[in-house]
Amino acid sequence: MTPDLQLLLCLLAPFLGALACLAVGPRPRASAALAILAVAVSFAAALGLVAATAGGEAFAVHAGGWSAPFGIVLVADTFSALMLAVCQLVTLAALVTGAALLPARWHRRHFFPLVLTLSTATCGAFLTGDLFNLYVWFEVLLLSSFALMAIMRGPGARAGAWRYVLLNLVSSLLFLAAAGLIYGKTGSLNFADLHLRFAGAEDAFLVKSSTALLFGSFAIKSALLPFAFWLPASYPSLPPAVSALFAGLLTKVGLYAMFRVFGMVFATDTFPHRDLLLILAVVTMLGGVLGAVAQGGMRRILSFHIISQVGYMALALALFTPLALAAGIFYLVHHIVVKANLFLVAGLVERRAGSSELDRARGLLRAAPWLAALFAVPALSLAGIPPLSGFFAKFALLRWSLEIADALASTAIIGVGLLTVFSMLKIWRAAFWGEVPDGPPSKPASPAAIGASAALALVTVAIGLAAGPLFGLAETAAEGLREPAAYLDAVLGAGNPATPELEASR
Amino acid sequence: MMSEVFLPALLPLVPLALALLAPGLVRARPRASTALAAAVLAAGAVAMVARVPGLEPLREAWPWVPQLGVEIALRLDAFTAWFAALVLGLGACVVLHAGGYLMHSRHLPGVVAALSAFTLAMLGVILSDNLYLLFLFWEATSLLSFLLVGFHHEKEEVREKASQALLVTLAGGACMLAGIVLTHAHFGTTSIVGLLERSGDGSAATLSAGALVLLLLGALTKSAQLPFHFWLPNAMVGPAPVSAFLHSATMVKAGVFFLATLAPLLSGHPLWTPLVAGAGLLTVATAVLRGARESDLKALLACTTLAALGFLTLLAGLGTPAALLGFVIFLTAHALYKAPLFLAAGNLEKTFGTRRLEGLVGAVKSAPFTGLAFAISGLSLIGLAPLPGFLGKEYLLKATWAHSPILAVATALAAAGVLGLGLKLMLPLLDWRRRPEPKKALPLFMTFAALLPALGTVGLMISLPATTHEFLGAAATALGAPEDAAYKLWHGWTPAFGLGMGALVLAVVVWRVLVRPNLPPLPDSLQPIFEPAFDNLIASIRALAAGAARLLQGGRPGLQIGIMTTAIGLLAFVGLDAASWDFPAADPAAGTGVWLLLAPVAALAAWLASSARSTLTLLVALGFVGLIVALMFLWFSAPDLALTQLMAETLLLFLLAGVLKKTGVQATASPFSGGRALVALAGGALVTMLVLKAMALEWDRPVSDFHLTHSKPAAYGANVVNVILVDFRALDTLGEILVLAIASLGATAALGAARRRSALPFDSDSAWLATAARGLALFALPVSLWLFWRGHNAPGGGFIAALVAASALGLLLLVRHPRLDAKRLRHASLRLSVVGLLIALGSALLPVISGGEFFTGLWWHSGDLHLGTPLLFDLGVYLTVLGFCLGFLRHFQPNATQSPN
Amino acid sequence: MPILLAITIGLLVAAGLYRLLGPGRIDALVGLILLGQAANLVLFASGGLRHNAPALITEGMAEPTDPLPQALVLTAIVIGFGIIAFLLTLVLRGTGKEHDA
Repeated sequence: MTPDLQLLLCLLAPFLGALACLAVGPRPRASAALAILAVAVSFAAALGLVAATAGGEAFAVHAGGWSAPFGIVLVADTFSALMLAVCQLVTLAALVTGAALLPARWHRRHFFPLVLTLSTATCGAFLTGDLFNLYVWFEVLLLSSFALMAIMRGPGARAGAWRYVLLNLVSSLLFLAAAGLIYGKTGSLNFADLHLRFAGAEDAFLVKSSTALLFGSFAIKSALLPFAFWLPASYPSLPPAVSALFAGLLTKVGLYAMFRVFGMVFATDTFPHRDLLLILAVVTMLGGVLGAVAQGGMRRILSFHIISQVGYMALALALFTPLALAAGIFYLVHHIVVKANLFLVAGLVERRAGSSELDRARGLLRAAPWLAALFAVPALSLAGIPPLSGFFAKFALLRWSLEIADALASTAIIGVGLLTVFSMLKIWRAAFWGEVPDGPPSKPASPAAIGASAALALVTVAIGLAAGPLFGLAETAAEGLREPAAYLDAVLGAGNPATPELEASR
Repeated sequence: MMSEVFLPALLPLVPLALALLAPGLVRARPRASTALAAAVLAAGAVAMVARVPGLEPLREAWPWVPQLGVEIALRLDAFTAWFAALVLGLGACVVLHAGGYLMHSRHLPGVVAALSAFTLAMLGVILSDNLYLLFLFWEATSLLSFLLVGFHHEKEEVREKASQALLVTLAGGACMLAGIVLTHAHFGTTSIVGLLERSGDGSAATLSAGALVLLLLGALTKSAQLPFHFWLPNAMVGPAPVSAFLHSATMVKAGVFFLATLAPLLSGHPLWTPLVAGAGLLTVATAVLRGARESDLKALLACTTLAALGFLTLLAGLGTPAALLGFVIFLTAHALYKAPLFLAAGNLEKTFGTRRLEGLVGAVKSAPFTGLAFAISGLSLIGLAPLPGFLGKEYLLKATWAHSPILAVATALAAAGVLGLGLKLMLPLLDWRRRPEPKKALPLFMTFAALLPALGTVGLMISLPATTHEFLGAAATALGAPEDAAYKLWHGWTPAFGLGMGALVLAVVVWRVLVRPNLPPLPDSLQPIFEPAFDNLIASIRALAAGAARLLQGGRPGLQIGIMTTAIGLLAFVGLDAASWDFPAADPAAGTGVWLLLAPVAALAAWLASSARSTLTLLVALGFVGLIVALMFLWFSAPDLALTQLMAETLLLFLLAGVLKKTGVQATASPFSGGRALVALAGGALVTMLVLKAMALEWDRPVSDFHLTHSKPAAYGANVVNVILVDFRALDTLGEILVLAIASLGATAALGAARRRSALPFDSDSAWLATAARGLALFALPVSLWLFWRGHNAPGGGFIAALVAASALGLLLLVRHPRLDAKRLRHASLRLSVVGLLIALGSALLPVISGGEFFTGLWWHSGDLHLGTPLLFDLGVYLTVLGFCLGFLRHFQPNATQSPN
Repeated sequence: MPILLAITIGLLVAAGLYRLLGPGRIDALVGLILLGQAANLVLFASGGLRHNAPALITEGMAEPTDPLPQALVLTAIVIGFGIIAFLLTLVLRGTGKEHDA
């Protein structure tokens, strides 16, 4: 199978799966099977893409056969292939858990088709090479996730969902306006083309102000402070399978866009608003983890951790050395797996202890040692304990920030890491230590859900053990952002910049 | 493959696997399985000791993460082999003891597993030849000791203390990692062997003070040195075997091991000796002050550990060959006497049910074997010749004297204090006049486990004269002591000997003071401040966190959006260099006439919409705004947009009216708020400026030029906007109809099937209305098809056509057409959406099947008629949009207020 | 008349923001509608504005207007329409008039 076809398959398998799920109607088992199959196919295709792009290659599909920048291109390079693979993996795990644990009401309410459209949008966002097309996929993503949230009951949950959509719509509007201004400035929307046009642009005022809107839009999506209000309002009330999906995907798509657009499209030696990003990243790291420390429920702690971890990844972009970017990409891959898994484990905790509120769950270490192990792997990884994946992510970041003698960033990396341990310790002390509660578990354990969680835990361990090769891949991906020659060639053809073609067409 | 010299270090994997894979077996046969585990570990210890004589340093490495300088590198020399043997040997005793101590506990397998893993981690620290790898094992010891110390985690106190130990050591570890990174950058290597090769070349002196301090923070927290010493006495809440292991050969020893290993290199740094030696000496002093007031056996023992660590740190701080010579014997002696002391303490506690010294007076007599272990070890602690403890003290004083006599005197004074603590510990238990009654018989092999290392002390004492060159001396040389190092009991009348004797005499005086029943409390200036400082730090973090959480969680959405938009607005404003102001060139073709009319209306409508106080005003204002926007589109040559805008706006208002009516929500404006107005006006002004600036730019439009030139010849459409939508940028449109499908799906998901429908208040007998509606619908449907058909070449297209059709159906709905019941509408909506999306997707995939690119138009021509997949795609759009509208119309029949519930 | 258009957009933004920052859900919705229209106009204006330019391609036509922003705006209008319609259902649900099956 050619990489081009793999690319299409990656995007369209969930799309077709969604339609198939709708076609089979209200039959949860059939829907679940179809959905899992579709995402599995997409995952396999993404793995194929990772293999195909491992050497820094890029592949482009020119939709409609129109050469870039005139049509829309879908591009897979190392970075997007990595993101695709890991996101589809997490989607798969969330689907399996969702099929096993979510109450029947959710299954009736179009859970599977909506997850699949969410997955389609994620793939589309990772693959697209066009600014406006990215906006469209963002909207699909937003609406899919919001539709999933809207299934929830209860005034608190609904208020959270409302806040989520409201704040994210502000992001959409900003994106729209920014896309317009950027088109007005350059006459183009294609990433590769924009990169070439921006490389020489010195009259930066409009660049700066229009990318400011874009920056704001992505900052909201990826939950940087002070734009992250939607996240703690909405995530904690979601069922764990759904919040695992969201935690793995949503903010990461925002971060991906940030890396792609600011790290490649508008980047030369630096990129607009880099200093600001550095400050926001540190504020986000600190604010997020402090928020987590104050919480008294596992889901809420984990939700705040997302914010804090997003700060780390944004910091990697802000440092903007090739190696820091590689560290950031490695971080993204690691974080998606670990964060999703933590929410899945929270689901298992609730099933076992009846609640994941820290004043109600207790004694799980003795009551269910396997559950403690399942929690410990991603929790320690998130906190950055070696040799798990999170250690290498944080360590690489620390190393490159110390290398350029950025004292603020280095202090933040260490300090926030410790506070993360502190908040994880809170969960451990309350839920896992303590007297074993009387009575049987509130609900029987679900082998499928445990399996999904264990699989992700194994992946976390494997990322740590295979950190060498994976880091090499991340370096290739970072290289592809900093020096996107392969990307430009794939999109614009070997003879870029695109102007000669235009002359010919006239 | 790993060379076989490292294999003994992997032996702890055997008990680890046993405990993890067969916990049932361990529970059923606790003695046999722990004895087996201990035997395996002991075999490892023997194998390691056997390697010590004549061992040439060796190193092996495998790559792991070369980009970061992380490799799996191991080293073995006489010292690390000796230390590894100590760890394995004491590990064996401790596991054996745990088998008795926790014989009836369900959790024995967990403890055995954790102890084995702990042994493994400690061996990793000792044998790593890559600082990052060492760090990995370092953190592992912190975590495992957390689990072990927290064994009795049902008690809040235990949880608290274990967490404190974890936090302190992990914080230190994190600092150390940063220190390692800086060291790595400075010396260009992470190999310890490689680093030590740089000793004495002066490169250490230029290492930044920050890097040194960070490294030290790691080592000093780990080995419980001032000001981080407080966690160690607290950590004795763990079970006795755990304490024994933690205090003798592992955990705390990792810190001093790290210091001593790097001492030959880093003592070249001017800050090294003052910081490290100072911390060591102060820790001894603190330990004595604290120990003087303890009467709990374990707590007292913990204080002596603190003191011993202080001495070891002091020696590492000196870093001279003589100091390292003293380090090895002191370390060995301490490991061998501290383990039995703690194990014996555990035994005594089990036997007599108390750890208070008063309750244990004469205990040795009642428990002779445990007592023997206690006595031998205690005497070694006090430093009676010829026990190894004596040697440790002698070489300590010798090394300090060589460095500075003043330091040696200070050390001797401190040593006197510690020896006094030892006497306080020992003498009551050795009291022959009393004999407390044992409350409980002890399993024999708990006694045995305590006695074993004590016998090791004796064995070392006896064998030392004969083997000092091959074993301990070789180990010391490997660490950095002079060549051919050896330990001798008698050096002649040296100052060190004199100081040692003096200390011993002074110790008796100290002891006389210490045993006085009512020791006055410490003066305020000497009250411990470090632990409260730590607690305060934690408390203030919590307070800060609560504040941060309030900021992030509190507040209504409006406020949050206000913060967000203000931040982004400021950013955009700063980016917008307002000074370089450029007015756009007026386009003479644009004309002003209509604008003079439109602009005030727009302003009025916008103001009305922002402040409308009633539903009707609001709807009218919104309608006006929509209309004006549509007119603008029309004015600036965008008929498709104008049509779309009109249709969409109409439907939206219809829905809004429906919602407002149905929910009874009044769209009253809230009271005027100056803040809101300010943000709003600033935002408006900013966007105005942005747009003006954008329009002032001259730009070329290569992309749309291409669209204009290729639309007709290559895509067969004269209406470029439509061609862009269904051909050039069809992927956008695919996403767009997906959004619509999700919206209608989501609405169903959120609202459910809405089975019951309220009756429409309209009188459906109103025949003329029904007829009119039908007539209009009959008229609208062909119009819709016509709009669809012409879309490629004239204003129209799938979306507009579908909206027209939808409004026709909406009319029919309004008059309650019998065939349009809710259920049918829902099914139709879903089916239309799915079929539409399938058609759209199919039109995109057809060319792929025939080998073309995704979405490439396949065309069939007949004269002026061009049929192709883009048209098919547009049909997909049409159906999806129609499905969407039907789905929503059913939710928003505007007149369902008289709903029965 | 770009200046007047820019001012109109600014007015829409101001009105929309004022509403959006308000307390009620309907406020937010109306704000979003207004802001959406403003964003569409920004996008539209970015292509350069021409009065009475030909919208369709014919032989020997005058210089046409830029079609790409128009297509983008059309997409944006539809997406905005879909989202607002969905939000409206949620307002409906918020008052509990609909039945949760």
